[in-house]
Amino acid sequence: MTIELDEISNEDTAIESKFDLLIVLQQAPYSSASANEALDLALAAGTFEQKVALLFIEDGVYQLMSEQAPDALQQKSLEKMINALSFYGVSMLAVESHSLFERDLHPEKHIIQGVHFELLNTKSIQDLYDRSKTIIRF
Amino acid sequence: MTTLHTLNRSPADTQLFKQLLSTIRVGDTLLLLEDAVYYCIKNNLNRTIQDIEVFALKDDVHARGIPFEGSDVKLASYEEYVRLTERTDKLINWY
Repeated sequence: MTIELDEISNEDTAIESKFDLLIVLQQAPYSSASANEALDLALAAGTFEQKVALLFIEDGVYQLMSEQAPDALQQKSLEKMINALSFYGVSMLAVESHSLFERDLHPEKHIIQGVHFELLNTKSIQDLYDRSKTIIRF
Repeated sequence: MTTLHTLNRSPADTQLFKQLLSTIRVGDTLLLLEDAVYYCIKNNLNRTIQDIEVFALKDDVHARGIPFEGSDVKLASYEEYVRLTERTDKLINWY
């Protein structure tokens, strides 16, 4: 299992890597079920050995906040789901850097630690769309 | 005449915030709910709306993992939410 995960993460760094499915998450969590549905799809597709990439953009970057505690809202913590994604074969987690900047979010200060995120600019996002066979936006 | 304004949308909805700004008056109260609690990260809210007391609903702030140290916004429980509605003459929802 460890060896497989290492292989996947080496592939990630290859810029020409292609994806079967790109899931774009652009909404903040908890006020709608959108984020949960997107992550459920990611887990399902990963389980069926699809090469999956996730792109967090616009208000979707709020899903990556550390120390989420939605107990009082009777909801599951997205942070835990995001931590689990690599174990379900999701190959790449990408974040649009400008969306973080606009929202005064700093990767070291506000974002979940221990999970690797690729910070992408607008140009690299165009590339990512080109390299993905199917794109679903949430 | 004082008004309690409740705002539900994130700072990305700039059109809605513009409408709120054109309506809110000195002496009014602003309560941030749901995605509006992300205004607490951008610490420029009090510069934009001076002389307005700003609260954020505690459960929504904690759920979203928003760091709260140094914020000028006050946290409100649901009980305090009710008290705010009693304290003001009317209520406007911005969502």
